[in-house]
Amino acid sequence: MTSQTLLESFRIATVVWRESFEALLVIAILQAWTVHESVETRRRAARSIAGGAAVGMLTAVGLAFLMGEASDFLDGDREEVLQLILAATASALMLRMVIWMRSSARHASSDMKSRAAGLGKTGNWAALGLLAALAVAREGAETVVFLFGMLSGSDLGSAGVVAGSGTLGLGAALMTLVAFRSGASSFSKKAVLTFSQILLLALGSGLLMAALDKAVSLDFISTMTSPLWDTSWFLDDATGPGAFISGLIGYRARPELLPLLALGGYWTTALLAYASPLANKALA
Amino acid sequence: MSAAKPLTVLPLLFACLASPTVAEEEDPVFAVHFSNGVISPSILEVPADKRFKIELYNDGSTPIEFESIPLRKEKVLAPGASSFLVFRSLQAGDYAFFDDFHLDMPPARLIAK
Repeated sequence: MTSQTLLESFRIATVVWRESFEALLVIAILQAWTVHESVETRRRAARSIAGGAAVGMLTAVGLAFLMGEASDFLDGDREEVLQLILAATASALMLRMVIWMRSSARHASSDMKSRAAGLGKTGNWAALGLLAALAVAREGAETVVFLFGMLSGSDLGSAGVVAGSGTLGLGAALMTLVAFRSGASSFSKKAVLTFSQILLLALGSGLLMAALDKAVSLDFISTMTSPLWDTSWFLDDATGPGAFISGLIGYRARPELLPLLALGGYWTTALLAYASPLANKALA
Repeated sequence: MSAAKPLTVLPLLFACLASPTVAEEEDPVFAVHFSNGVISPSILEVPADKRFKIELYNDGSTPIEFESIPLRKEKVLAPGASSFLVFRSLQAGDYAFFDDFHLDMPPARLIAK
């Protein structure tokens, strides 16, 4: 293996890890929620999540096909509209999951059985599956186009290198998931729940900003003002790590009024779930 | 905006997805070529506060991803593929964009004025 192939292989593995990171993080969080529950609840949750992930993977391959072979269909605005729908739905679902988690913890924290029953109520299994599906579908399509593109541009060597490096990247991402899961079981239930709720809300705010960006870019809504300040000297959202963080949690270096209002609304709604007397009203 | 809002506009968005988008003929068009991480031109001048279109071509042998958070755009292209991005009204400014699949390469700039 030449150094050139080695470098290429490393790059493939990194891209696959990076692209699948968000999806796997969501799956890990959803799984961590049930780590302290009964065996039956854990199984039921795992089935919902795995089913959702499988549907997400099929959707990702379908989307990748539309982006590649039938590129006319998803050209220009349509791809952005689709991304807007996926991101907005996932963001709303994440907020809903956390609000529901909070209320179920409040009402039945002392009683494991009714808690498990609460988990199964009101379509929460479906929401769990749908969230896993959305997470996988969003990032998966890009990964599929990337891997097939690497395979077709085969001047970098054999298909084995691409397949091997891709597997390596996915393996690394899966290790992240396993680490999260085993970490979750060694911490107290309260710590796991709080930490994973915060993570999920952060991912949700990232998705809200992504959806907002699409809506602004499509001219559905206006940003209301020019950028109000500029923190790109501190953390630039244009390139590199800053862009990765921005994509994940919704940080913007030069925010206008509308994104700030949206973020404010999102986090206020999220905090309502933590203020006990108000939370019941918010849920009703 | 609360998180429930995106869900209420979903039907509207689906309608947009189904209907064909008509690009106006007089929109200025700019071409950007990607080749295994090399972006040309590396500095692109575009009109500010005006609708324009950027055509993306992947001339290289590896896939690319046009990405820019400040520009609010992302697009993945397989080798040999081409596509376009429509910009409605971009405020004057200097925006960086990069190839997310070739992060070792320098970013390019789009200057709106």
